[in-house]
Amino acid sequence: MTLAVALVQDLTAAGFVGLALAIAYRWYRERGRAQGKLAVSLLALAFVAGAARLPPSALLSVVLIIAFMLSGFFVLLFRNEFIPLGRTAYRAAYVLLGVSIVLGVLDVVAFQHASPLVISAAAFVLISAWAIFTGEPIIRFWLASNSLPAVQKARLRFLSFGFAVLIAILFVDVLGGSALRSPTALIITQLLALAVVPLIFVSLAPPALLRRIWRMGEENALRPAMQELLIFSANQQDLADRAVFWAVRLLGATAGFIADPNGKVIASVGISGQGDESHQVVRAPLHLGEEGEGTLAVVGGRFTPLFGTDEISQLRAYANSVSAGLQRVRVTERMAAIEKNKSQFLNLASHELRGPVTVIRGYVSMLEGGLLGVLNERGRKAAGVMAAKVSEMNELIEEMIEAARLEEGGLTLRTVDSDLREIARSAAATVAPLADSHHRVVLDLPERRVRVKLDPDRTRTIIANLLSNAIKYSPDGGEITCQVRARGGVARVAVTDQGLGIARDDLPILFTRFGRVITPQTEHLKGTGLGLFLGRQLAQLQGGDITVASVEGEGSTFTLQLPVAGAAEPGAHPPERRSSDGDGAAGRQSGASPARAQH
Amino acid sequence: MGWGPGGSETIDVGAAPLHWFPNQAGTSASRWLRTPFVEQRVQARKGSAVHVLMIEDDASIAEMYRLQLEHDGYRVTVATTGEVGFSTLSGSAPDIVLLDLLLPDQSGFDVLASLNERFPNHPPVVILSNYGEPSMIDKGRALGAVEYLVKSRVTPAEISGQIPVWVERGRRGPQES
Repeated sequence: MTLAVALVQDLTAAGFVGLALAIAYRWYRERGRAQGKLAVSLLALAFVAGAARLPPSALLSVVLIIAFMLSGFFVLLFRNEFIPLGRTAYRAAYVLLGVSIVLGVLDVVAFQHASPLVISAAAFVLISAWAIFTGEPIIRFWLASNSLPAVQKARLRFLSFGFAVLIAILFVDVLGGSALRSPTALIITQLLALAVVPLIFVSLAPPALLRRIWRMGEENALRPAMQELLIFSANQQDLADRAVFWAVRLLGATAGFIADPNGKVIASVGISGQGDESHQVVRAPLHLGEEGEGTLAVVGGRFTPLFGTDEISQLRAYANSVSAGLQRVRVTERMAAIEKNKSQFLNLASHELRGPVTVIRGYVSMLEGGLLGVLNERGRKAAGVMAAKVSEMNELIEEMIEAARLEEGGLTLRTVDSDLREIARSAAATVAPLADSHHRVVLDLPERRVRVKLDPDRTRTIIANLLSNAIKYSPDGGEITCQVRARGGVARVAVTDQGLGIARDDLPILFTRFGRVITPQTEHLKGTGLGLFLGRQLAQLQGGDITVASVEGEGSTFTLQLPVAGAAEPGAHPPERRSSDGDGAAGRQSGASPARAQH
Repeated sequence: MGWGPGGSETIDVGAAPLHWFPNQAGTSASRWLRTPFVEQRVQARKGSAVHVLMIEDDASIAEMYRLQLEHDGYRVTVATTGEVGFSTLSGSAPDIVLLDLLLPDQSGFDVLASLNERFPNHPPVVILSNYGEPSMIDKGRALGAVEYLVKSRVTPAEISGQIPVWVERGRRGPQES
């Protein structure tokens, strides 16, 4: 049994020596001040554990006591590296160290023959001092670990737990007295002490597997956040803010920032601006394409014990993802800006065009009206042509404005209960001037009214556009029918011509913005390619659509589908436009006079 | 056609503009607005013509409108900035204001807003703009414009024909719903 006790004691001593050597080696490699302090502490502890196995002597006892006290004191110094002690506490610690060493020496030299009570008391004081040196850091580290990310938290807890077990063993050893001197109790305490060795070692140099387990929680949280971060960050600022937040959390730092290639900080977390302490900083480059190289940096605080190679490589990998994300955002932002410019240009150009058109249109109407003098036959004819062309131009401008408005999302419909037959009728009336003598526009309307709830002005524009297309693309004339029907909750306006028709391959581009089918027969015809695009968009906005069926050389049928209004509130409004409110008053149709101007 | 408590007042066409000046907008102007002289003038086209103030910085547009409106018997004053327009309004009393929105010194909306503030009973204002956005139309109406029209969609002759209607509508007071 004693042999077993001796064996376990030897093992424990060897374990501590091994632990101390491992820490000393790490300190030798990395030369961190904190590491050094801890190495001294553990070396002293190992020395105590090892030398205690030697034959006892007074000198050895004194040395052991001093080494023991130093091992505790250096744990406090280790803590001081991260969380500086107050000046008073620092001094008190030195005083306590001095007192306990003196007491220890006295214990060995003078108290040899004192009562066991005195010896126990002296031992208790010594162990208490040691417990204060190590216990304070334990509690401090434990508390600090609460606010830290998983990896740092686990490390600190292992370290705290290890030293806590050592303190417990020492106290139990001293206070338990002879009751615990049985071989079994000795073996148990020694085994416990031995178990502390891996705990402390793991806290200082956690193996990769353990670190991965600790980090798993954070990484699981990051994975969904990563997508949010890289794909759905709307702009550079958003992404940078999120990226810094996660970098700090992943590495357990206290602060972090992202700087652009010019060194300007674009996002930061936890930077207080009071740089009174020296910080451990890890930087990783952000490769931002032709812009250069930015920096992602995290700053360790007092509670961040160590940034190892693991953290550095992790930050590098993370920074690469962030770089990609930042570049993605820049491209997206640039594209959005181009798109915006385009629609701003469209908007501006069309509004600027309205000015000159106003003047030309005004004067042409005055020429036609005879206000500028009497024109001869040819003059009147010319004025008529100009008036028609200016109206055409006006329509194009209106289309461009409408398209720009649609893209900006600034288009609002003014829906009214209407009769689709009336709308079709007035659409046909607006295109009548376009038809030649060899065109025949036939309106095929049902007997009963077709009730729809929609924007009548815009619907008229859609139908008028379909009709004018039908006329335009029927250069040889023919019949153009506009058939209105309602069945099964869907109202249909089918515009059929006997014109050029459209090749199957060309059908997809019909409804695209500025999409025009150019063939030898159509290349001389003018148009913006906006009409059908707008028509379909407007139809879809009103819950409908436009479809097309065409045979090249035989003609086309464009069908506007719209939902029929529910059977509620019969005949609420007459289909005529209100003349005093809404866009209607602004004279949507070119050439339409405000209603009251007639008399 | 009596409006308000003072509806029975005599018609005093010649003196009317004198009643409408800045510091007494609250009393005299309302009296001025109540008198149905406008109708008379518009119908008779004799005596002092209906006075149209056009606030418009584009000279070619202003000139074109002047041509049409003077041909139709109106008296036309053109102001090329909001500031000039405002002082013209303070000095004389036009029967109707045709207001452009994009002015060199301020927006037409600003002109209309300060007009509402300083002269609650100002003559009817018709906005003539290059912008037809529903939001702007709504804003113009909210500010009390009797009409909002997009210039390129109307001809001077149409405007000229509508003026009596607007003057009459404005005379009846703001048609706020």
